[in-house]
Amino acid sequence: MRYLSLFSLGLFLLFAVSMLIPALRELPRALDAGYLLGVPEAMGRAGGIGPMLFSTLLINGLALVMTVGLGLPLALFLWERGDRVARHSLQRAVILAIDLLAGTPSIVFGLFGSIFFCRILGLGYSILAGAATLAVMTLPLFARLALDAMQASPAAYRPLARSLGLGRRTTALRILIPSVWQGLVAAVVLSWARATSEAAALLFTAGYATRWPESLLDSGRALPVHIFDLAMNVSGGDAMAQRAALVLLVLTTVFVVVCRKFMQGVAQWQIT
Amino acid sequence: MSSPRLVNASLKKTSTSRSDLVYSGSLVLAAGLALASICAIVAFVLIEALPFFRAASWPEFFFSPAWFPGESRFGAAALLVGTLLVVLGAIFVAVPIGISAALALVFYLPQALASRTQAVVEVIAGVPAVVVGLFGLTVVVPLLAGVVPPGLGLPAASVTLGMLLAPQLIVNAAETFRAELPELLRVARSLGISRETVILHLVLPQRLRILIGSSTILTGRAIGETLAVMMVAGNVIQFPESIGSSVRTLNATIALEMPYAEGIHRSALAALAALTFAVVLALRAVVPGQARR
Amino acid sequence: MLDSCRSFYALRRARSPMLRRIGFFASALLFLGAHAAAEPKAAVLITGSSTVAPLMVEVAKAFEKAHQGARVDVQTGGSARGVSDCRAGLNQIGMISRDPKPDETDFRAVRIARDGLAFIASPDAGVSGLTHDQILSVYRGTVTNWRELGGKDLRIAVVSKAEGRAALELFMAKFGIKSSEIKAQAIVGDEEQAIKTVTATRGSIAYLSVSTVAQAVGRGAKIVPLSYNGNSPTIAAVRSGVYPLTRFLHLIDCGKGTAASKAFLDFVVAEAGQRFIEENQYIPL
Repeated sequence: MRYLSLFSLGLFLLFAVSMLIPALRELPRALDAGYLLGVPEAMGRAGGIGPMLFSTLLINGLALVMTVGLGLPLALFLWERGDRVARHSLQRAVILAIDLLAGTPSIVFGLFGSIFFCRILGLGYSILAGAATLAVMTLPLFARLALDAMQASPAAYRPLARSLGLGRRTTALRILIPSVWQGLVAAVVLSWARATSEAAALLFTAGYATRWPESLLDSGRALPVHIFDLAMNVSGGDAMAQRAALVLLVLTTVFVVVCRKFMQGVAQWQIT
Repeated sequence: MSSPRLVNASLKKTSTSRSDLVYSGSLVLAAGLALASICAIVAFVLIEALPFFRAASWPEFFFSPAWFPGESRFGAAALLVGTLLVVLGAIFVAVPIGISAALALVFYLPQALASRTQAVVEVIAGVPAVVVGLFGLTVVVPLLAGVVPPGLGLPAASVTLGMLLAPQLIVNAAETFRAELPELLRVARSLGISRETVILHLVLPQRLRILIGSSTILTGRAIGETLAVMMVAGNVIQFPESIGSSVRTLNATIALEMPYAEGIHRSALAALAALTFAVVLALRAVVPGQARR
Repeated sequence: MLDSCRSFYALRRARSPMLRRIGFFASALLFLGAHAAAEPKAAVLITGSSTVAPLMVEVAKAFEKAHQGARVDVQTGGSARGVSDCRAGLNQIGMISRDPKPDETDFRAVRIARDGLAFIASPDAGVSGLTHDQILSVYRGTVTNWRELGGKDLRIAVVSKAEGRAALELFMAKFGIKSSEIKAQAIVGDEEQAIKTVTATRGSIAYLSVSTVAQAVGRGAKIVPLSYNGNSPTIAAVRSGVYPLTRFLHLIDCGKGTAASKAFLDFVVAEAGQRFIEENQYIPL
């Protein structure tokens, strides 16, 4: 068992690293202030990715806040009602809806966002529309992962808390969530990862503009969209696409490290 | 500890404190909002597909592999089969590797190394689908070309999509396995049960059940992924004749044709999206425990 | 477990509810606040073909530099989107990578660049040119080995384009073949996907735009441009009219434009705009 599983892990890492080799090759050129802060030139084949980086931070950050803000209560709702079989009809409807959404093609999200957030809500091609679309897209993933984490907590917590005279809200907020912090943070990280992996949803909502966004209602090309454009649309854009992908990976790494430090901090606090 | 029945009786007593009502209320609100946004998307797809549903020939749509919008022929059978095969293939690739890698992370690696390795896997989960697709096209396809010429097709799509699914699965499985672990191991040791037994006979079955329950995360991502598959699957609309055949998925069709589709063609593509929903529902019904949790 | 419950309760007082509430209300506020502070949209919005879009981004930048205060935004969505947005008044200018259809008389189509249809093959095929009939038989599936065309003994992997793409329409028109008659082993969407697919697949043949091929060859991609009936698919050949398989890229104007959009259209076809088209390795008029 041990050798098989270690071999699997090794195999996966081998594939993953070879997948990242073209990007890693761009490392020296990517860590350049001119590149990270400059504007793109010649259809992105030269110049920098400053506006894209900024847009990505805005879009993903906003989307994460929305996803967690909506997904955490949603997961709590599902956890509250069903320790065992989901008999409550609203709960079953919500789970069904989440599953349907999880399987929706990413391009459908883009088109939906384009019509709903951009046209009907009047946001136009904007960072806000992109963030909202992304939030809806990662919602099922986050809610499911958070629910998973909550269900991994001992079933005894609830009756125990009851017997102490704690109300529902207190049970959830003071006992459940602190005990499943790790799982929740993992859910946040995976939601972020899902968001940075997507281009189609943002292409039609946050848009294609390469200028520095001046407000949340401005169109701003996100990094995944830029990478997609360079790789699949612009001739000779491969190297730049990999370079931008590397920057995106570094961004994700920073996010993961920050989350881990946060977790360590919480763990320290829990011990004291 | 009081018996479960007694405890549940006390749980039924709903708390009347105001903060609890506000809390419960905000949960229901959140759930309702989420439900509403999800319904909005489903409604959007169905509304767009309506013109096609009204005009189309249903037997042709479901059973004919001939998809030629330019000639007004809309047979989605090959697309449906393509989607199912790619999804199942990807799961077949990702699950064994993913679960055993997660086991390694949780049980067989020293703590510090495991934590760092998991961080690396989390970063890999964030690799854009384009990059995964490029890897599939430049590395996987030529590798497979020797075995299943010309290389593009179902195997390449399954491997590439499997690569995309794996990191997420590994992290999710690792977190699920890790829950309550220190205490479990302590109890086991005090009872004299070996580590291996703990893992295989206690932890794994229960945790696997939880994972299967939330496996819609995996199948959902597999069904919903468009770009990486589109780059390596060949995209020819046909029933696969052999294991190495070129296949096209529902999503790839939507992605490839939507930018240039007008009129009834657009509506037909929305119908394909609706078909994707049907696939999700079908998989839900088939996989045990998915619908229940 | 009782102890941990008690300590949790004591210590978590200030943390969890705050973060969650902040998250929830922040998103709500952002939505309301941002909507209330809606800014005027771009003076000129151009949507449409993703093939033309990258080029338009560069031309738009040049236009903005030349005309202070102007603002031109370019978005993609495909040629169909460009047309439908134009008709619905959602954009000022549309981009299409094809010629306007016979029934499309409700907008003015302005030619902005030339393009042509080029055939490429992977180097291991061993051919450098094909005739019209040879190409037709390959795509019909009647010829399946490069050997039959004077090349190596290698199965032909036919690459075609997805429905609705301008290149496919041009191919079908010039060769008189229907979509259902094409027997392909792979279908691609974007131009670059065609190049990458040919590079990765042994014995493959594909068609795509001349300018893409020229750029790819220029940076050393492992593809062989095939001559068509003896004519090489070069930029010069398309410009001079020697190469027969040509089309134009268009910007369309539905008459709902502003002064700024009209100025932009004039800019694109004028010397200044055409210079950018050439610089970015597209084919000027």
